[in-house]
Order: sequence, then structure tokens, then C-alpha cells
Amino acid sequence: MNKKFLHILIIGVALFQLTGCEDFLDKEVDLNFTEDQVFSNPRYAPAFLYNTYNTLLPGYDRYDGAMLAAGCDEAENSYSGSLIQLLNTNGVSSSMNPDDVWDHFYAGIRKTNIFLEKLNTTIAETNSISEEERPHFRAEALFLRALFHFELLKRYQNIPYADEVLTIESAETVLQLSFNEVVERIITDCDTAFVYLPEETGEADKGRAIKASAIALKSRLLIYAASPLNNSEKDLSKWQRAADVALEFLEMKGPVVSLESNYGTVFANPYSREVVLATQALNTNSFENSNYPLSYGGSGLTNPSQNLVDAFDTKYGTPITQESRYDPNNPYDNRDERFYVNILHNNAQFKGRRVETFVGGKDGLLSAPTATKTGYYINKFIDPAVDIDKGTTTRKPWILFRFAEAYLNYAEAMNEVYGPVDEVYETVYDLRKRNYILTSRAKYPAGMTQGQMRTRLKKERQAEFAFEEHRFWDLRRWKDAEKVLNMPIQGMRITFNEADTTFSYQKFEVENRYFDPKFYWYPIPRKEVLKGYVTQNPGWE
Amino acid sequence: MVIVTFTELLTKLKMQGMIDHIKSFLLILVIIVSGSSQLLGQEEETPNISGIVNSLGGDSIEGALAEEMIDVAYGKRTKAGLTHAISVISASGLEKTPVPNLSNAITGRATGLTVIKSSGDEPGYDNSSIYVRGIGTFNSYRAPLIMVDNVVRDFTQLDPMEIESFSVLKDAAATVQYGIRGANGAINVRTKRGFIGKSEIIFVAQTGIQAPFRLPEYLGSEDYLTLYNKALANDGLMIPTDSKYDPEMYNGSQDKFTYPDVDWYNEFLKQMAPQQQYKLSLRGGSSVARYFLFMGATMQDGIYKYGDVNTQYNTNPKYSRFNLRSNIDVDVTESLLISIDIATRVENRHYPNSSAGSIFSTLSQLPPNAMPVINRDSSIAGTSIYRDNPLGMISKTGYRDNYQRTLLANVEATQKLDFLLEGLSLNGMIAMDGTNYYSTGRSQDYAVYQEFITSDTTEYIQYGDNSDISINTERFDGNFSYMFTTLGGFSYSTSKENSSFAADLKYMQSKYFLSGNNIAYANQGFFGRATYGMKDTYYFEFGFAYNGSEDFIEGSRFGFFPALSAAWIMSNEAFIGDDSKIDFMKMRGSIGKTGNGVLGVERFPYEDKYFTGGGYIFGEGYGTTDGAYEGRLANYDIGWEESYNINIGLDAEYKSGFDITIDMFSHYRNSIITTGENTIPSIIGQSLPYQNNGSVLNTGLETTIQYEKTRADWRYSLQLNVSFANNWIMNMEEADGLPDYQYQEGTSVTSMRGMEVVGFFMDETDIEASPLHTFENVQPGDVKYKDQNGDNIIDNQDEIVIGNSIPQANIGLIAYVGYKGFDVNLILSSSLGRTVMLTNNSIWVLQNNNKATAIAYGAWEAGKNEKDITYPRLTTVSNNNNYRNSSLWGKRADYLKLVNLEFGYSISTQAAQKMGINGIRIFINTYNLGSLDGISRYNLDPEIPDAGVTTYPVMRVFNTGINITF
Repeated sequence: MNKKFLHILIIGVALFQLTGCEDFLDKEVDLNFTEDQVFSNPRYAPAFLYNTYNTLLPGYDRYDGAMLAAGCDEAENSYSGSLIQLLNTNGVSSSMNPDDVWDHFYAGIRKTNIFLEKLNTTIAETNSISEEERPHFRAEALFLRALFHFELLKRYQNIPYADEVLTIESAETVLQLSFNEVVERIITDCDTAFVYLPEETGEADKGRAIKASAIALKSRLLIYAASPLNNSEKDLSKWQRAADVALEFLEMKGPVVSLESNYGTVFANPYSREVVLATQALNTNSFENSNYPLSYGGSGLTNPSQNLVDAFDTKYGTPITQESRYDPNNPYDNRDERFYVNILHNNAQFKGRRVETFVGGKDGLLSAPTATKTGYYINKFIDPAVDIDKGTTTRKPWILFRFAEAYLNYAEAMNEVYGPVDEVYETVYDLRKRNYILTSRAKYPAGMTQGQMRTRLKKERQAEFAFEEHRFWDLRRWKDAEKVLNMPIQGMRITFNEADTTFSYQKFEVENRYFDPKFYWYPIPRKEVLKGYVTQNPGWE
Repeated sequence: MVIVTFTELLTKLKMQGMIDHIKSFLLILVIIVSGSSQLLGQEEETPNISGIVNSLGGDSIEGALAEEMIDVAYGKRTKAGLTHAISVISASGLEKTPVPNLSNAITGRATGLTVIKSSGDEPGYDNSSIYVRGIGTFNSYRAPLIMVDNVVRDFTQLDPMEIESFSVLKDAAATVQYGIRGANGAINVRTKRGFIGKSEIIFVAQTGIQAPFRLPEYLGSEDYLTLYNKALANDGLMIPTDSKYDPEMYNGSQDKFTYPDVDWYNEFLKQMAPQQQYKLSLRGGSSVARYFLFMGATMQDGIYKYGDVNTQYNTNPKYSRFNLRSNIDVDVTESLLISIDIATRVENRHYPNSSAGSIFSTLSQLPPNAMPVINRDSSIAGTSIYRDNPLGMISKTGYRDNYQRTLLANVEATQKLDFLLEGLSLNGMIAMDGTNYYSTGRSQDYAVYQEFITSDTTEYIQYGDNSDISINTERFDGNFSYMFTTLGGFSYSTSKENSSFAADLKYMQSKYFLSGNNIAYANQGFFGRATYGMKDTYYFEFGFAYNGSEDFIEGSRFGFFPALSAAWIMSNEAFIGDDSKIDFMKMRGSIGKTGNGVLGVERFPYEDKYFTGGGYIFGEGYGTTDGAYEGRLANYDIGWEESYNINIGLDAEYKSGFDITIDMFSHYRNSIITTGENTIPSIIGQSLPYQNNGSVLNTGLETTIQYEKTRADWRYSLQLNVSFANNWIMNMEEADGLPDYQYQEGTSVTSMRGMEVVGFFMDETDIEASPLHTFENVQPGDVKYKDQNGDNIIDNQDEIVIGNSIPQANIGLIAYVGYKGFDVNLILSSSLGRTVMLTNNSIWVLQNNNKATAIAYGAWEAGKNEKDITYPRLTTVSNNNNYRNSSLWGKRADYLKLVNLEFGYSISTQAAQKMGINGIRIFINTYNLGSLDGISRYNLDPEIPDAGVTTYPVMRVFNTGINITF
């Protein structure tokens, strides 16, 4: 009996084979592309590079609606649960760093490397990007690769420089380079990019990298590399090199990039001529949602510190400490134009009425869980036309480089090499004069020492670039962080005197801040260190 | 004795390693066997078994056993000769639990089954999660294969009266026929069929009420504000001078519009909501044709008040389901049997346009003093912070109707091929299942108004906009899916004097199509089995499947899955004499390999993928460019998970009426997907390819003890189901150099990790003397954690295992007592070893504009005695230090639930019989009547603590009905 059964079994199996059912499991449709399909396609080959731009990070909402400004002495974030607070309490660790961007930027770097590889292979073979356009695309990819590495460098110090598409095997062989080695690699990419990048873009391509972008990156890189944190040997040639490149950057001034005549315009116009590179102009109201004062429907998260407020000069061009006409009982009168652009202070006009940060006011100090903790709200980047209730939006690019930096980079580097020479005075004056009705007030007083000039320039940078993610890194490269970031954050307690409808002002400590010198560098993520291919930064082991 | 050992075992499960674990299994086996036989030894004076059997009108028990058939995958085997580990749920028992969703009715009824409520009992949305033998993989796909009439189908919306048998297939021998789909275990349901004989007509009507099982109890305005003001002070925030912040204004003497004290739950939830079920079944047939026909209707209402205040539409949730089934068997010729099964199901779900989740989240958030329900001028109240009002959500946001229509059809033909070979038959089945899902609805917006009273004016500030109900009914998310299954092959069985042989060889293919841009899911392959029995004492079976799925690269899609099993009926051996107390005793064993081809990750991981999209905005026109990007790196060799299963079982039946089944298993799952993210440098810059590098060991023990007895007019039966399952991750590609406690390897797949709490900071010196807590700037009253790695820093590296989200033990007790026409049935279900993390706002009070429950009275206060502190300092803002997963919030969720209790009375009068009525039974039953657990003190459900807080509550049901048999 079993023999017969076996026969039938065999027939059955044979039938199955005959029906050729194997393709039953095949897909009827494909929902994705292959690498070749993308890079041989004139529509998608360039699109791959456009997508790479998404790696650029806007600074409006680093974590939980917080700005990096609240991780240094520029501001306090009123949401006590925000992860940004970890940066102020020595709470960052190698396994818990809200600003850990290791994976993010290496992912961007891979995209640039894939694109560069395909430019010479599939793209060239199929001409999916025309021959005359290819050098320009290549330069763009090289620039982005340089920029992404710079973002890693300023955080993690010694990093692997990935200049090819890595595989599981080859990734193990990429070396972790020293800070200075990485600087040179970035410069190499930057220099090549500079040659082939266009001077300017057409209307439709605004926002893409141009020559000025490459030089701006190089200038910032060299300023960082020459600064005390990375130049403990005080090698003046590093400052000289930074000065040379900053001058090159300054010389880019022309129809494509130049200063706006008005400081506030820079942040109100998505494609300001002062902006050298920014992230894409997203249509959003999330920044207003996070930062409008409470009574305007926002959460009021970013609260500028008194420390920052005091850094803005008076309208006479003098620091408040040196100006007799500055009235501590009317501290917001007669200030540098930039103060009003940056800070939303008590009694300031905003959306047709006055902001009330005084104690008991509608937006009052500590009046609600995310009400201001310092007595101020942020005004920079805010578009008052946004209506939170109606959900209206506005274009919001995040400025990565703007032309004002050329002036301050040049002044700083020159002062370091030559002391407060005329070029320093003149360059700073050129930048400052737009903020004063009487331009003569923009001049620094003659006869400053190199040290005085250095202090003044640091303050200038603090005011000019408030909230633009400069101060966070500047304090580190100057090695000022261990001093400045160990000081408490100050606020202003304002009380309203009903009797004579005046305000009284009293400074107070908002919170203590702590900075461990190991935090000059971020910890390399622990999960990467455990893999054994990178060495952890000192203090984070 | 048995119970003592169980508790011992439980402690062991928690405390000790695997070896001890296995030792305790062996120990328990010995104890049960010896203990039960001792127990049985005392039953000397019981009447002899044949007496009982005769009184039941049955045959001798041996005869019954030999004929009793068990549903196995794609077939039947005799119970006596069965070599598999299968537990069977009595289908008629399922009818006693008055819930529409069958996944809620199977709790406690079988060994090897873990059922956890995964949502509240919102009408129509009340599925529970089901696992067979716990969890065997860290892949996210852990669900068993569900087969209804040999086709992959949902069973949860069947009516229990449609079901003939319900079995849980547990070991490799039982699931190997499913091959690549068998590793997570399977549930095999067969619907009823006709029989030869006089027609049987059964009509059932039942109606009941559902009431929330538990709801959190929030404090009233006065108490709430007292606590709130303390929290403000703790936060360094100012207590506003506004009299609305003065607790004393809420003592009832003041104006209720200005000083409200609203019990939001009471205001918006009814005490109870109705449900009904009506069923009619017809069953019978002749030697030519047999039929089973069924019609059923189930209706269940929701518990919202104000569902009907809007004159244009009603929004109270309503679930209705209509089941219709026709299972027909026709003997076309003497050798050809054709079966035609058609079943349809209509499911309608109606609910307000605001989801139950959002309504309950609002009810559980709104403080009692936030606002009245409606303002003085009858407008819907709201504030700048609380812009949702449940009145608006329920009555003024419109409604939705979800419609699901299912048609299940299968045609099967079986041709006997005795002319070729005696006992051989050819069988083929085609099944076509279609489901159409769509929803319609209308929407509306409502505004809320906040009252501002000054000395001479009353002003209302409006938040949001009012709109009329949308003019047209809109249709949303239509989705049509269908599955096409073909199954067929040969079956053969023969028996001789001393041996029996049965074998099947079948081919199966199925494809599941979804509408939209989706790729069909497909399965295909061969399976078969050969069973050989010798002298009715020794049974051997070889089963296999050679099958595959669409998810793998061509050429490597099919796997071979074999299983060997054997059974030895010891009671047939001479050494167990006829005088023995043992009536039947069998040892079983199986070993085999099954697979899990559902990887729980993005489909087609063998493919290099590029996607389009992710463009960027350039230019003055702000147009978004095209984008293209690379997907996760491919692994061309990616395969399925393989499970190597061993099972040893013992079935014994004692003459005294006890039946005992014990199974021990060890399932080793390997080739589980890992990604290398912990071992391969991430500077590659792309998601790493999936690898088959993980493994999990899952072991456990299951035992069923049954006792059945009839004495005079009394009938008793008792069934105790006990299941243990515990798993360990053996390999997960974790990094080298971690401290031991950070490895997931060696812990359970469902381990819950969090901080270990050592107390609360009493003052500043306490903080300074403790390791640096980095989650937040800690203050006195904050939670103090243990520094596990001794680095003097408290951060996420100090997280340890603080519990398990899946119970290690499930116990069910099914009891039945009958006296003459009366009967009582009950089911107790217990789950042990599970931890729930209590994080909803009934526990995490006050912060983020939440209200408070009495738990807040345990909070730290300056000067309070340390041992009286059970809760961190109150705060109105979120706090990353206190409110994170920790042993403070992780609570043991062990419970003992009275799942089901039924009283019935059967009438069988001669008068009725004259009318053609064979029997009438009236019954009252309940679902979820009570629970003993540690979560009750928080007024939360132990299975799903978010029920009633952020989801619809778990319900308790009282139900009464009548069953008439014609």
C-alpha cells in the first residue's frame, strides 16, 4: 500500500513543479527605485543632491521648541522639562546629549559621497546632468560635505573624515583624525568647491550654495581653528590665515552679497542679500507658537537673559556701563537698534498692544508654567503677522552664514595679529553704522588696547549675532565658557506702580548655571565609542 | 501542595537563572504527578466509573476516547493517538461570556494562551492582544497565526454559536504544517457544520448593560486648588492673587459659574449603556445534504451623555454587527463530497468625530475649577488653556460611521479515490475572502467661551470658531482587501489489525491583496504529514512544510520545516494493570523546526532601495524640488526566523474523574532580525542592513487539571489551567564592554527598564551628598535614584530591569456546578509576573495643567516625615527627573479576575415539548465582575491602566437571556 501512496506523492510533487508556481511569490508592482534608475534619470539625479540639503539643521527648534541660545548665557528656556536644560546643568552625557548630531551629519556626508561617486559613473554615462552643469553640482556636493564635517568638528573635535561611500568593511578602516587634520581636509573640499561654485544663482535657485558660501565656511573654520581652544600654542600664523580668508570673504561684497542697510531687514526677508547661506524657507508658524508671549497665544519659551540685554550698547554707541545717559530706571530707552530687533521687553509694542512682563502682567514673570522666567521674550525671527489662532504661517529660513560675519571675523583676526589697528576700527565701524542715526556714534573710541578691543569685539559679536548660534560656540573657542557659563543667568523683575503708572526694575538671579571644562567638546556618542573605532574626548570616558 | 509549589516557582522565575528554572519545572512535574495520584488515592469510595458513564448515557470511556477527534492543522486526529501539544477551548463555553469580541472571551480558558487587553471596551474597538506560549522573539511580530476553517481569518468577530471547535496549537508537531508561519503558535478555529438527523433550531435572545469597571477618582476644586497652590510654591511660581485660586471659594457657598466644581466624569458619562444579542441557528441534514445556518445580531451602545443634544445628529457610540453563515455539505456521489461555506459579516461603528481617546483625555485632564460645563449665557465654556470641552467634543464636532463588510466564501471538494487505493482521497479547496472598509461622516467645529466679569460688564472671549455641520456627508479612507486561497492534495488513511497509518500531502497558496499602492502578501508551499500507530499504543508522526513568502529574494524564498513526534500510551501496557486507578496515560514528545516569515520590519529587506521625495525649497517661488534618497542597506541573504521546538507532554485520566495534562516546552528561536547598530560604525551614514543574528530561548510549563463528576442530581466540573512561559534573549548583537546590567541579552524580551528609586531628596544637603542627578536640576522632594554603575552621575545609564510587560504565569479556573435544572458557571483568571508603568495623569498629577487624585496627598512637603512620603514634590510643570520610567511608577499588575459568572435554569416541560420546544434555558451572566489586584487602589484597571484615562474604560457587563431549542 505504501508504495502506491509514494507514487501518488511523487506525482503530486511533479505537478507542482510543472505548474511553475515559483513566480506566484513575485511582486506585481515595484514601489521603489534602484540606484541606477535614480541616477540615470535627469529629474532624479539632481534631486538626490537637493535632498541632501535637508541635512542642514535649522536652529529654531533644536529640542522641544528650544533654541541653542538657551543652552548658553543668551537665554533661558521657560519649559523646565526641555532637554536643553541638560546643557546648563552638566547633564549631558555620552548616552544622553540632546544635540548629538553624529549620525545625522554622517548620513548627510554619505549622500554627498554617493552623489560625487555617481557624478563620475552613472550620471556621466547617461548624461542625466549635463556636462557643463556637472562641475557646479560637484562643487555643491563638496561644499556640503565640508560643511557637514565642520558641524561635526566643532562639536566632537577629532572625527573621521568620510570622503567615500563607506561599506560595513571600509567603515572599520576610516581613521579618526585630529582637529587640525580635519581642518585641512575641510579646507581642501572648500577650496575646490569655491572654484566651481557659481558667483550667484538664478531666482529659481536662491538658497543653493554659491562661492560666498564656501568662503564663509572657510572663514568661520579658520577663526575657530585660530582661537584659544584650538590654538593653545598661540600661533599667530593661524590668526593671520584667518585674517586673510576673512578679507577674501569681505571682498565678496557686491551685488550678490552685502550688508542690509537695516539690521532688522535681514531677518524679515527670506532671501536677504546679507544671507550667504540659510536652510530652506519653510512655511511654518511653529517658532511663533513656541515663542510668542503667553497672552498672544504662544508658549513664550525662549527668554532672553539680562546678561544678553546688558550686552547691547546704548543708542550713543557706548556700552551701558560707560554711558551716563543710560537710565537704569528706564533701561529700555535709548538703546542700540539691535536691542529692539532682538528683545521683546516689558511695555514694548507688539501686535498693537504692549507686552506685560511685569509681575502680575498678562505675560508676567513666572505667572504660568511657561511664562517668562527672565522678564523678556525673544523678538528676533518673530513675524508679528502670524496669527496663532488662525494658524497663519510665514517663511522661515534659518541663517547659517550672513555677511556681517565677514566684518567681525576680519576685525577679530586682525586685532589678534596686529592689535587694534585702523583696519579693525574701520571694519567694525562699517558694520555698526547702520544701527545708529548718527553714524559717528558707531565708532569705537580711539586708543583701545588689544585686550580692550578683544573684549569689545566679543560683546559686538554677542549683540550682532544674538540667538544665531554663534555665542554657544564662540564662548567655547575663546575658552570663556568655563567662566561665563558658570555664572548665574540674570533676569529683570519689573513691578508696576499703580500710583504713578511707572515701573521699577530689579535684577535677580534666574538660575545657577554649571559648565564643566570637558564640555568644551561634546562627548562622542557612547554607542560609537563602544564599537572601538573612535576615541572618546577627555573627561567623557 | 501544588499551589505552594507554584508560588515557589514564581519566586524562582524572578530570582534565579535558567537552570534553576528548568529544575523547578522538573520538580513541579514530579510533584503534580505524585501529588495528584496521592490525592486520587483518597478517592476510594467513589462510585465506579462505568456507573457515571452509563448515567450520562454514554458509551464506555475507552470507546469515547478512541473516537474523540481533535482538530489539528488542516485535519483531524484521534485524541488518543495525538502526538501534538494542543489545548482546546470548549466552544459552548464561549457563549457564556457576554462580550461581542471573542478575544475577550478566551481569557483563562486554555493553557499556553496569554490574553492582554490592549484597549478599553469602546464598542467595536475592544480587541485584546493574544500570544501563544508567551513571547518567543524580539521581532515586533509576535502574534500567533489565526486560522478559521483552514484560512487565515479573524476570529474575534465571529459569534461563539458559529464555532464548533477552538484549539490552540502550541508545539512544532502542531504548527509545522504552517511552516514559515508556524513559529508564533497558532489558533485553529472550525465553524459548525450540519449533521444527519432531526433539525435542531436554537434561538437566543439576550440583553444586558455595560458599566465602567473602574474610573479614576479626581479631587474636587477645593482639594485640588489646595494642592495646586502647594505645587506653585514648590515651582517658585507665584500664587496669583485672583480669588479663583483661593480654595475656600469652592466650599459651595459661591456662584458656581465663577467658582465651578465640576465632576467631569459624572457630568459626561452615563452609569450604564445597553447591549443586545439575538441569534438563530438551524442545523441538521440527511445522508445527502447537511446544513448549518446561522444569523446573529449584536448591538452595543456607548456611555456618553449628551450624545443626543444636537438636534441634527446623534453621536452616542454604537456598534452593531450582523453575522450570517451557511455551511452546506452535499454528497454529490457516494465518493464525492462538496462543501460550500458562505459567511458574511456587517460591522457598523458610529461615534462622535472626537475620538474616545481625546474625549477621555479631556475628561481626565480638565480640573474641576477650570470652568463650568456651560457658561451663564449657556455658551460652551472654555479657557485659553483648556480649549476643549467634552460637551463640544461629544455633541458639536460631527460624527463618523465606519462600515466594514466582510464576505468569506470557500468551496471544498473531497473525492474518495478508493478505486485507486483504499483510503485515499483527493481534496481541494478554494477560498475567497473580501473585506470592504470605509467610513463616512460629517464634521463641525465649535467655539468655547471664557467669561470675564469686571465691575460693570460681563465679557466672553471666544476661542475657536463655530461652524455649521458640513453640508454633505463625506466619505473617507475606503479600503478594499481580498484574499484568495487555494488548498488541495491527497489524504490517505488505513488501518490493520495492529497498526494504523494516515498521511496527507497538500499544496497551499494564498495571496492577500490590499487596495492602493500596496504589494500583495503571498504564501505558497507544500505540507504534509504521516502518522503511524502500532497496537493502539505507539504513535509516530512526521510532519513537514516546504513553504515560503514573497518577502525574500527569488531563489531563497522557501524553507523546509520538519517535525517528529511520538506518543506512547502507557496505560495500554501490561505493567499498568486494569485494576490501576489510572484509566489512560500517555507520554508525548515532539521536536521540530518552524518559521516566522513576518520579520516585523520594512518589507523586502533584500532589495537595494531608492525612494523619491524629500525635496527642498529653493527660489523666490518657494517651490519644493524633487528629491531622491537611498533606503536602508540591503541584505540579499536575509531569511526568516527559525524556531527549534521541543515539547514533552503527559496526559493522564484517572478513574476517579481527574484528567491531567502537562506539557513542558523549550523553544529556541534564532535568525531573529538585528541591525548591527550596536556593533558597526554609524559613520557609514545609512541604516544598516538587517541580519539574521538574534536568538531567544523561550521555555515554560503548562498543566491542565480537570475533574468531572455527577452524583444524583448534582453535576460538577472543574478545570484548572496553569501556564508559565519565560524567555531570555540569547543574542541581540549588543556592544562589547557594557556593564552587565545594561545588556538585554540574558533578560526577557519584554523586560521593562527604568530607574531604581531609593527615596526622595529631603533637603539640599541630601542633594549635595548624593550622586549628581542630571535629568533635571533637582530640588528637595524630587526622586532619588540609585547609581548603578557607581560613576556618581545619575543618568540613563543607570537604568535597570524593573519589570516585565508580559505575565510569566496565566492561570484560569473554569468551574461548573449543576443541580437538576440549575447550573452555575464561573471563570476566574489570574495573571502573574506582569508590571505596568503607571504614567497617565491620574498618577502623574497636576503637571501640564492636569488635575489630581488622592495619590497627591503622599507628596513630599518640607518637614514631612520621610516614611510618610510616597510621592515626589508636587509640581505644575513637567519634571524629567521625577516623571520617567522608574520603580516608583512600575507596579506589579498581578490580578485575579472573575471574568465570567453565569447562573442558568433549564426548563424542559411536557407542555413545551408539545409545542416542539425541546428545551428552554434562561440565564444571567456577567463579564468582568470583580478583580483582586494591586492597581485597584488607584482605581485603574490592572490590564490596561490607561483605560478610562486616555482611552475608553474597561466595562463590566450584566446580561440576561433566554435560549430556546426546538
